[in-house]
Amino acid sequence: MKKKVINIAKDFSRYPYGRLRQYSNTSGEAFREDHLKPALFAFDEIMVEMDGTEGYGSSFLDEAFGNLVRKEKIDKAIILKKLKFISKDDPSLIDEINVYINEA
Amino acid sequence: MDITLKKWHKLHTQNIRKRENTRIERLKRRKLDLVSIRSKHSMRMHMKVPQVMSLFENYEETIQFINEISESIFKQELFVFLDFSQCKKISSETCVVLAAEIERCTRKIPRSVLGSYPQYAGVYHFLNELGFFHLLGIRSSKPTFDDLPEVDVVRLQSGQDNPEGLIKGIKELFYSADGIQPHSPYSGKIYRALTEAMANAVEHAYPDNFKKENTNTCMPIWWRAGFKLNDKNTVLMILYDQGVGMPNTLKTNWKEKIEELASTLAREPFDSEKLALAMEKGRSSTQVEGRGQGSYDIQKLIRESSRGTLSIFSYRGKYIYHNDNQWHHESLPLPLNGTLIVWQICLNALEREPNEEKSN
Repeated sequence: MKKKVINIAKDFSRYPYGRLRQYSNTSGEAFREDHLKPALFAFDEIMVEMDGTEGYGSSFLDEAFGNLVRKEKIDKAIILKKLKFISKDDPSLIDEINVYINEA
Repeated sequence: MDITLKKWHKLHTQNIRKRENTRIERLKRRKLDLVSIRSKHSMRMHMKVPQVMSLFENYEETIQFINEISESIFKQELFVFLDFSQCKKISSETCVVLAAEIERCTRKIPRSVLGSYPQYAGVYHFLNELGFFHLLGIRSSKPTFDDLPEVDVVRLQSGQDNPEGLIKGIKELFYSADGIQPHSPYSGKIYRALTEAMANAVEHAYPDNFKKENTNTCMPIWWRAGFKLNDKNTVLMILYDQGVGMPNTLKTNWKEKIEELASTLAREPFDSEKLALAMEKGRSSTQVEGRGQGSYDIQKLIRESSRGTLSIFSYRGKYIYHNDNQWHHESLPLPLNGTLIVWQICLNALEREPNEEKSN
Protein backbone atom coordinates (compact mmCIF):
# COMPACT_ATOMS: atom_id res chain seq x y z
CA MET A 1 0.00 0.00 0.00
CA LYS A 2 1.53 3.33 -1.10
CA LYS A 3 1.19 6.05 1.55
CA LYS A 4 1.88 9.75 1.53
CA VAL A 5 1.86 12.45 4.19
CA ILE A 6 0.96 16.04 3.27
CA ASN A 7 1.74 18.56 5.98
CA ILE A 8 -0.11 21.67 4.82
CA ALA A 9 2.02 24.12 6.85
CA LYS A 10 5.32 22.65 5.61
CA ASP A 11 4.44 21.44 2.13
CA PHE A 12 2.04 24.20 1.09
CA SER A 13 1.71 27.31 3.28
CA ARG A 14 1.25 28.45 6.86
CA TYR A 15 -1.25 30.96 5.47
CA PRO A 16 -3.83 29.09 3.37
CA TYR A 17 -6.20 31.73 2.04
CA GLY A 18 -8.99 32.18 -0.47
CA ARG A 19 -10.74 30.07 -3.05
CA LEU A 20 -9.16 30.67 -6.45
CA ARG A 21 -5.56 30.68 -7.67
CA GLN A 22 -6.08 33.85 -9.69
CA TYR A 23 -6.54 35.78 -6.43
CA SER A 24 -4.19 33.92 -4.10
CA ASN A 25 -1.11 31.73 -4.48
CA THR A 26 -2.11 29.84 -1.35
CA SER A 27 -5.73 29.22 -2.37
CA GLY A 28 -7.85 26.09 -2.05
CA GLU A 29 -7.66 25.63 -5.81
CA ALA A 30 -3.84 25.72 -5.74
CA PHE A 31 -3.73 23.18 -2.90
CA ARG A 32 -6.19 20.86 -4.65
CA GLU A 33 -4.48 20.98 -8.05
CA ASP A 34 -0.86 20.87 -6.87
CA HIS A 35 -1.09 18.52 -3.89
CA LEU A 36 -4.37 16.67 -3.35
CA LYS A 37 -5.24 15.65 -6.89
CA PRO A 38 -1.80 14.27 -7.84
CA ALA A 39 -1.59 12.42 -4.52
CA LEU A 40 -5.05 10.84 -4.97
CA PHE A 41 -3.97 9.42 -8.33
CA ALA A 42 -0.56 8.20 -7.17
CA PHE A 43 -1.15 6.89 -3.63
CA ASP A 44 -3.51 4.55 -1.78
CA GLU A 45 -3.61 6.50 1.46
CA ILE A 46 -2.93 10.19 2.03
CA MET A 47 -2.53 11.55 5.54
CA VAL A 48 -3.28 15.30 5.56
CA GLU A 49 -1.78 17.06 8.59
CA MET A 50 -3.79 20.20 9.23
CA ASP A 51 -1.90 21.59 12.28
CA GLY A 52 0.73 24.32 12.12
CA THR A 53 -1.10 26.76 9.87
CA GLU A 54 -2.75 29.97 11.06
CA GLY A 55 -6.18 28.54 10.27
CA TYR A 56 -8.56 27.73 7.41
CA GLY A 57 -11.44 29.67 5.90
CA SER A 58 -14.49 27.77 4.70
CA SER A 59 -13.97 28.85 1.09
CA PHE A 60 -10.43 27.39 1.15
CA LEU A 61 -11.68 24.08 2.54
CA ASP A 62 -14.65 23.82 0.20
CA GLU A 63 -12.55 24.64 -2.85
CA ALA A 64 -9.76 22.23 -1.87
CA PHE A 65 -11.87 19.25 -0.77
CA GLY A 66 -15.45 19.74 -1.99
CA ASN A 67 -14.28 20.48 -5.51
CA LEU A 68 -12.38 17.21 -5.72
CA VAL A 69 -15.88 15.87 -6.38
CA ARG A 70 -17.48 18.77 -8.27
CA LYS A 71 -14.61 19.92 -10.48
CA GLU A 72 -12.20 16.99 -10.59
CA LYS A 73 -15.03 14.43 -10.82
CA ILE A 74 -13.32 12.03 -8.41
CA ASP A 75 -15.64 9.53 -6.76
CA LYS A 76 -16.65 10.49 -3.20
CA ALA A 77 -16.09 6.96 -1.88
CA ILE A 78 -12.51 6.93 -3.20
CA ILE A 79 -11.77 10.34 -1.69
CA LEU A 80 -13.17 9.38 1.70
CA LYS A 81 -11.33 6.07 1.64
CA LYS A 82 -7.94 7.51 0.68
CA LEU A 83 -7.89 10.78 2.65
CA LYS A 84 -7.11 10.66 6.38
CA PHE A 85 -6.72 13.73 8.58
CA ILE A 86 -4.84 14.86 11.68
CA SER A 87 -6.07 18.08 13.29
CA LYS A 88 -5.14 18.31 16.95
CA ASP A 89 -5.41 22.14 17.12
CA ASP A 90 -9.01 22.14 15.88
CA PRO A 91 -10.59 18.66 15.54
CA SER A 92 -13.87 20.15 14.21
CA LEU A 93 -12.09 20.81 10.90
CA ILE A 94 -12.24 17.11 10.05
CA ASP A 95 -16.05 16.97 10.34
CA GLU A 96 -16.31 20.15 8.31
CA ILE A 97 -14.17 18.74 5.48
CA ASN A 98 -16.18 15.52 5.43
CA VAL A 99 -19.37 17.57 5.03
CA TYR A 100 -17.86 19.51 2.11
CA ILE A 101 -17.00 16.21 0.40
CA ASN A 102 -20.31 14.49 1.16
CA GLU A 103 -22.46 17.46 0.13
CA ALA A 104 -20.52 18.13 -3.08
CA MET B 1 28.01 92.88 4.35
CA ASP B 2 24.99 94.53 5.95
CA ILE B 3 22.35 92.54 7.85
CA THR B 4 19.65 92.68 5.11
CA LEU B 5 22.06 91.32 2.51
CA LYS B 6 23.15 88.53 4.88
CA LYS B 7 19.52 87.63 5.47
CA TRP B 8 18.79 87.60 1.74
CA HIS B 9 21.86 85.46 1.11
CA LYS B 10 20.74 82.96 3.75
CA LEU B 11 17.24 82.73 2.29
CA HIS B 12 18.60 82.34 -1.24
CA THR B 13 20.90 79.50 -0.15
CA GLN B 14 17.96 77.80 1.56
CA ASN B 15 15.86 78.10 -1.59
CA ILE B 16 18.60 76.59 -3.74
CA ARG B 17 18.98 73.67 -1.33
CA LYS B 18 15.26 73.11 -1.26
CA ARG B 19 15.09 73.09 -5.05
CA GLU B 20 18.04 70.70 -5.26
CA ASN B 21 16.32 68.33 -2.82
CA THR B 22 13.24 68.07 -5.01
CA ARG B 23 15.19 67.87 -8.29
CA ILE B 24 15.07 64.07 -8.62
CA GLU B 25 11.37 64.00 -7.98
CA ARG B 26 10.75 66.77 -10.53
CA LEU B 27 12.76 64.89 -13.15
CA LYS B 28 10.86 61.69 -12.43
CA ARG B 29 7.53 63.47 -12.81
CA ARG B 30 8.61 65.06 -16.07
CA LYS B 31 9.63 61.67 -17.31
CA LEU B 32 6.23 60.21 -16.41
CA ASP B 33 4.53 63.04 -18.29
CA LEU B 34 2.69 64.11 -15.22
CA VAL B 35 3.17 67.77 -16.03
CA SER B 36 0.05 67.75 -18.21
CA ILE B 37 -2.02 66.26 -15.38
CA ARG B 38 -0.75 68.94 -13.03
CA SER B 39 -1.76 71.76 -15.38
CA LYS B 40 -5.30 70.37 -15.51
CA HIS B 41 -5.42 70.43 -11.74
CA SER B 42 -3.88 73.82 -11.23
CA MET B 43 -6.53 74.73 -8.62
CA ARG B 44 -6.32 73.18 -5.15
CA MET B 45 -9.50 73.14 -3.12
CA HIS B 46 -9.22 73.83 0.60
CA MET B 47 -11.39 71.34 2.51
CA LYS B 48 -11.99 71.63 6.25
CA VAL B 49 -12.21 68.22 7.90
CA PRO B 50 -15.38 68.06 10.09
CA GLN B 51 -15.01 68.26 13.87
CA VAL B 52 -16.27 64.70 14.41
CA MET B 53 -15.30 62.12 11.81
CA SER B 54 -17.15 58.95 12.72
CA LEU B 55 -19.35 56.57 10.78
CA PHE B 56 -21.13 55.60 14.00
CA GLU B 57 -21.64 59.06 15.50
CA ASN B 58 -21.74 61.44 12.53
CA TYR B 59 -22.32 59.28 9.45
CA GLU B 60 -23.82 61.78 7.03
CA GLU B 61 -21.28 64.57 7.42
CA THR B 62 -18.37 62.11 7.48
CA ILE B 63 -19.39 60.31 4.28
CA GLN B 64 -20.30 63.53 2.53
CA PHE B 65 -16.82 64.85 3.26
CA ILE B 66 -15.05 61.68 2.13
CA ASN B 67 -17.09 61.47 -1.08
CA GLU B 68 -16.35 65.13 -1.85
CA ILE B 69 -12.61 64.39 -1.95
CA SER B 70 -12.83 61.97 -4.86
CA GLU B 71 -15.55 64.01 -6.55
CA SER B 72 -13.28 67.08 -6.56
CA ILE B 73 -10.33 65.14 -7.94
CA PHE B 74 -11.93 62.82 -10.47
CA LYS B 75 -15.01 64.81 -11.57
CA GLN B 76 -14.14 68.48 -11.06
CA GLU B 77 -10.42 67.93 -11.70
CA LEU B 78 -9.46 69.94 -8.64
CA PHE B 79 -6.63 68.96 -6.31
CA VAL B 80 -7.50 69.19 -2.62
CA PHE B 81 -5.86 70.32 0.62
CA LEU B 82 -7.23 68.73 3.79
CA ASP B 83 -7.27 71.11 6.73
CA PHE B 84 -7.36 69.09 9.96
CA SER B 85 -7.18 72.11 12.26
CA GLN B 86 -10.80 71.83 13.43
CA CYS B 87 -11.03 68.04 13.59
CA LYS B 88 -11.38 67.03 17.26
CA LYS B 89 -12.24 63.37 16.93
CA ILE B 90 -11.73 60.66 14.36
CA SER B 91 -12.86 57.09 14.90
CA SER B 92 -10.77 54.09 13.90
CA GLU B 93 -13.07 52.86 11.12
CA THR B 94 -13.22 56.37 9.63
CA CYS B 95 -9.40 56.54 9.64
CA VAL B 96 -9.34 53.46 7.40
CA VAL B 97 -12.04 54.69 4.99
CA LEU B 98 -10.44 58.14 4.72
CA ALA B 99 -6.94 56.73 4.27
CA ALA B 100 -8.20 54.33 1.59
CA GLU B 101 -9.84 57.17 -0.32
CA ILE B 102 -6.67 59.24 -0.17
CA GLU B 103 -4.51 56.32 -1.26
CA ARG B 104 -6.81 55.69 -4.22
CA CYS B 105 -6.71 59.36 -5.26
CA THR B 106 -2.96 59.78 -4.87
CA ARG B 107 -2.15 56.51 -6.61
CA LYS B 108 -4.32 57.47 -9.57
CA ILE B 109 -3.14 61.12 -9.61
CA PRO B 110 0.06 61.71 -7.58
CA ARG B 111 -0.03 64.59 -5.08
CA SER B 112 -3.71 65.22 -5.75
CA VAL B 113 -4.32 65.32 -1.98
CA LEU B 114 -2.18 67.30 0.45
CA GLY B 115 -2.98 68.23 4.02
CA SER B 116 -1.97 69.60 7.37
CA TYR B 117 -1.29 67.97 10.73
CA PRO B 118 -4.22 67.90 13.17
CA GLN B 119 -4.08 70.08 16.27
CA TYR B 120 -5.74 67.55 18.56
CA ALA B 121 -3.60 64.82 20.11
CA GLY B 122 -6.18 62.03 19.69
CA VAL B 123 -6.71 62.69 15.99
CA TYR B 124 -2.99 63.08 15.33
CA HIS B 125 -2.03 59.91 17.19
CA PHE B 126 -4.61 57.70 15.46
CA LEU B 127 -3.67 58.94 12.00
CA ASN B 128 0.07 58.98 12.63
CA GLU B 129 0.18 55.41 13.93
CA LEU B 130 -1.86 54.27 10.95
CA GLY B 131 0.72 55.74 8.52
CA PHE B 132 -1.75 58.32 7.24
CA PHE B 133 0.57 61.33 6.93
CA HIS B 134 2.85 59.38 4.64
CA LEU B 135 -0.10 59.23 2.20
CA LEU B 136 -0.56 62.99 2.44
CA GLY B 137 3.10 63.60 1.70
CA ILE B 138 3.56 66.14 4.52
CA ARG B 139 7.19 67.18 4.83
CA SER B 140 7.06 69.62 7.73
CA SER B 141 8.18 68.43 11.16
CA LYS B 142 5.64 66.51 13.24
CA PRO B 143 3.90 68.28 16.12
CA THR B 144 4.52 67.18 19.70
CA PHE B 145 1.80 66.41 22.23
CA ASP B 146 2.00 65.67 25.94
CA ASP B 147 -1.00 63.39 26.39
CA LEU B 148 -1.35 60.85 23.65
CA PRO B 149 -4.17 58.30 23.94
CA GLU B 150 -3.26 54.71 24.72
CA VAL B 151 -3.77 53.05 21.35
CA ASP B 152 -1.78 50.28 19.66
CA VAL B 153 -2.24 50.22 15.92
CA VAL B 154 -1.55 47.72 13.16
CA ARG B 155 -0.59 50.06 10.30
CA LEU B 156 -2.84 50.36 7.31
CA GLN B 157 -2.12 47.79 4.62
CA SER B 158 -3.61 47.46 1.19
CA GLY B 159 -3.44 44.72 -1.40
CA GLN B 160 -5.06 41.69 -2.98
CA ASP B 161 -3.12 38.73 -1.66
CA ASN B 162 -1.19 37.50 1.36
CA PRO B 163 -2.90 37.79 4.72
CA GLU B 164 0.44 37.24 6.52
CA GLY B 165 1.24 40.85 7.44
CA LEU B 166 -2.16 41.62 8.88
CA ILE B 167 -2.47 38.35 10.76
CA LYS B 168 0.89 38.86 12.48
CA GLY B 169 -0.03 42.39 13.49
CA ILE B 170 -3.54 41.58 14.64
CA LYS B 171 -2.39 38.65 16.72
CA GLU B 172 0.19 40.79 18.45
CA LEU B 173 -2.66 43.03 19.61
CA PHE B 174 -4.39 40.00 21.12
CA TYR B 175 -1.28 38.31 22.56
CA SER B 176 -0.07 41.48 24.25
CA ALA B 177 -3.09 41.18 26.55
CA ASP B 178 -2.58 37.45 27.12
CA GLY B 179 -5.95 37.03 25.50
CA ILE B 180 -5.27 34.08 23.24
CA GLN B 181 -2.43 31.75 22.41
CA PRO B 182 -1.00 30.97 18.96
CA HIS B 183 -2.62 27.99 17.23
CA SER B 184 -5.51 27.88 19.70
CA PRO B 185 -8.96 27.32 18.19
CA TYR B 186 -9.80 30.98 18.88
CA SER B 187 -6.67 32.11 17.05
CA GLY B 188 -7.84 30.00 14.08
CA LYS B 189 -11.24 31.74 14.20
CA ILE B 190 -9.63 35.17 13.95
CA TYR B 191 -7.71 34.00 10.89
CA ARG B 192 -10.83 32.42 9.47
CA ALA B 193 -13.01 35.53 9.82
CA LEU B 194 -10.39 37.88 8.41
CA THR B 195 -9.34 35.74 5.46
CA GLU B 196 -12.94 34.94 4.47
CA ALA B 197 -13.78 38.64 4.45
CA MET B 198 -10.59 39.43 2.49
CA ALA B 199 -11.33 36.69 -0.05
CA ASN B 200 -14.90 37.94 -0.47
CA ALA B 201 -13.63 41.47 -1.02
CA VAL B 202 -11.26 40.43 -3.78
CA GLU B 203 -13.40 37.76 -5.45
CA HIS B 204 -16.82 39.48 -5.36
CA ALA B 205 -16.47 43.20 -4.62
CA TYR B 206 -14.99 44.20 -7.98
CA PRO B 207 -16.91 42.53 -10.82
CA ASP B 208 -15.40 42.87 -14.32
CA ASN B 209 -18.02 45.31 -15.61
CA PHE B 210 -17.46 47.59 -12.58
CA LYS B 211 -13.68 47.55 -13.19
CA LYS B 212 -14.17 48.33 -16.89
CA GLU B 213 -16.59 51.18 -16.25
CA ASN B 214 -14.30 52.73 -13.62
CA THR B 215 -10.84 52.09 -15.08
CA ASN B 216 -9.59 55.57 -14.17
CA THR B 217 -10.77 55.54 -10.58
CA CYS B 218 -11.04 51.91 -9.45
CA MET B 219 -8.32 50.08 -7.46
CA PRO B 220 -9.54 46.48 -6.97
CA ILE B 221 -7.91 45.92 -3.58
CA TRP B 222 -8.79 45.90 0.13
CA TRP B 223 -7.50 47.98 2.99
CA ARG B 224 -7.10 46.61 6.48
CA ALA B 225 -5.92 47.76 9.88
CA GLY B 226 -6.17 46.86 13.55
CA PHE B 227 -6.49 48.96 16.69
CA LYS B 228 -6.24 48.13 20.36
CA LEU B 229 -7.91 50.73 22.57
CA ASN B 230 -6.01 50.13 25.80
CA ASP B 231 -8.34 52.18 27.99
CA LYS B 232 -11.28 50.02 26.92
CA ASN B 233 -9.20 46.84 26.53
CA THR B 234 -10.83 46.33 23.17
CA VAL B 235 -9.44 45.19 19.84
CA LEU B 236 -10.88 46.46 16.56
CA MET B 237 -10.17 44.71 13.28
CA ILE B 238 -11.17 46.61 10.17
CA LEU B 239 -11.43 45.54 6.55
CA TYR B 240 -12.57 47.82 3.75
CA ASP B 241 -13.02 47.58 -0.01
CA GLN B 242 -14.24 50.19 -2.48
CA GLY B 243 -16.20 47.80 -4.66
CA VAL B 244 -19.86 47.68 -5.67
CA GLY B 245 -21.07 46.84 -2.16
CA MET B 246 -22.65 43.60 -0.94
CA PRO B 247 -26.28 44.57 -1.75
CA ASN B 248 -25.29 45.08 -5.39
CA THR B 249 -23.32 41.82 -5.55
CA LEU B 250 -26.38 39.95 -4.24
CA LYS B 251 -28.53 41.18 -7.13
CA THR B 252 -26.54 38.81 -9.36
CA ASN B 253 -25.44 36.02 -7.01
CA TRP B 254 -28.65 35.72 -4.94
CA LYS B 255 -31.18 36.71 -7.56
CA GLU B 256 -33.83 34.15 -6.54
CA LYS B 257 -33.60 34.88 -2.81
CA ILE B 258 -33.84 38.64 -3.43
CA GLU B 259 -36.92 38.10 -5.60
CA GLU B 260 -38.43 35.93 -2.87
CA LEU B 261 -37.81 38.67 -0.31
CA ALA B 262 -39.29 41.28 -2.66
CA SER B 263 -42.48 39.26 -3.08
CA THR B 264 -42.78 38.84 0.72
CA LEU B 265 -42.31 42.57 1.32
CA ALA B 266 -44.37 43.50 -1.77
CA ARG B 267 -41.67 46.05 -2.70
CA GLU B 268 -37.99 46.22 -3.69
CA PRO B 269 -35.95 45.34 -0.56
CA PHE B 270 -33.74 48.05 0.93
CA ASP B 271 -29.98 47.52 0.84
CA SER B 272 -29.95 46.92 4.59
CA GLU B 273 -32.56 44.16 4.17
CA LYS B 274 -30.49 42.53 1.43
CA LEU B 275 -27.45 42.73 3.70
CA ALA B 276 -29.35 41.08 6.56
CA LEU B 277 -30.50 38.37 4.17
CA ALA B 278 -26.91 37.67 3.12
CA MET B 279 -25.85 37.35 6.74
CA GLU B 280 -28.85 35.24 7.72
CA LYS B 281 -27.25 31.94 6.78
CA GLY B 282 -24.29 32.74 8.97
CA ARG B 283 -26.59 33.45 11.93
CA SER B 284 -28.79 30.40 11.65
CA SER B 285 -26.64 27.62 10.21
CA THR B 286 -23.96 25.53 11.86
CA GLN B 287 -20.41 25.17 10.69
CA VAL B 288 -21.05 21.78 9.16
CA GLU B 289 -23.89 22.85 6.87
CA GLY B 290 -23.40 23.63 3.23
CA ARG B 291 -20.50 25.04 1.30
CA GLY B 292 -18.28 28.10 1.55
CA GLN B 293 -20.04 29.93 4.35
CA GLY B 294 -18.22 33.27 4.39
CA SER B 295 -20.96 34.98 6.41
CA TYR B 296 -20.83 32.17 8.97
CA ASP B 297 -17.08 32.59 9.46
CA ILE B 298 -17.34 36.38 9.67
CA GLN B 299 -20.00 36.25 12.41
CA LYS B 300 -18.70 33.23 14.28
CA LEU B 301 -15.76 35.16 15.72
CA ILE B 302 -18.23 37.50 17.43
CA ARG B 303 -20.71 34.81 18.43
CA GLU B 304 -17.99 32.95 20.31
CA SER B 305 -16.66 36.01 22.12
CA SER B 306 -18.17 36.83 25.47
CA ARG B 307 -18.49 40.45 24.42
CA GLY B 308 -18.22 41.67 20.86
CA THR B 309 -19.94 43.37 17.94
CA LEU B 310 -19.71 43.03 14.20
CA SER B 311 -20.66 46.08 12.12
CA ILE B 312 -21.00 46.02 8.35
CA PHE B 313 -21.57 49.14 6.27
CA SER B 314 -22.18 48.38 2.61
CA TYR B 315 -23.47 50.84 0.04
CA ARG B 316 -26.79 52.05 1.53
CA GLY B 317 -27.12 49.35 4.21
CA LYS B 318 -25.83 48.86 7.75
CA TYR B 319 -25.91 45.59 9.70
CA ILE B 320 -24.96 45.14 13.35
CA TYR B 321 -24.50 41.73 14.98
CA HIS B 322 -23.88 41.11 18.70
CA ASN B 323 -22.34 38.11 20.42
CA ASP B 324 -25.71 37.08 21.91
CA ASN B 325 -26.98 36.48 18.34
CA GLN B 326 -28.98 39.73 18.42
CA TRP B 327 -28.84 41.76 15.24
CA HIS B 328 -30.43 44.73 13.51
CA HIS B 329 -30.13 46.58 10.24
CA GLU B 330 -30.86 50.09 9.02
CA SER B 331 -30.74 52.12 5.83
CA LEU B 332 -27.99 54.69 5.39
CA PRO B 333 -28.82 58.22 4.20
CA LEU B 334 -25.80 58.35 1.88
CA PRO B 335 -24.08 55.44 0.13
CA LEU B 336 -20.70 54.26 1.36
CA ASN B 337 -18.29 53.57 -1.45
CA GLY B 338 -17.88 49.77 -1.05
CA THR B 339 -18.03 47.60 2.09
CA LEU B 340 -16.59 48.17 5.55
CA ILE B 341 -16.42 45.38 8.13
CA VAL B 342 -15.54 46.13 11.76
CA TRP B 343 -15.03 43.42 14.40
CA GLN B 344 -14.96 44.84 17.91
CA ILE B 345 -13.87 42.38 20.59
CA CYS B 346 -13.45 42.98 24.31
CA LEU B 347 -10.25 41.33 25.56
CA ASN B 348 -11.43 40.99 29.19
CA ALA B 349 -14.14 38.72 27.92
CA LEU B 350 -11.77 36.85 25.65
CA GLU B 351 -9.41 35.79 28.42
CA ARG B 352 -11.95 33.15 29.42
CA GLU B 353 -11.90 31.68 25.94
CA PRO B 354 -9.06 29.08 26.20
CA ASN B 355 -10.60 27.46 29.30
CA GLU B 356 -14.02 27.39 27.70
CA GLU B 357 -12.54 25.71 24.67
CA LYS B 358 -10.87 23.04 26.81
CA SER B 359 -14.01 22.28 28.74
CA ASN B 360 -16.01 21.70 25.54
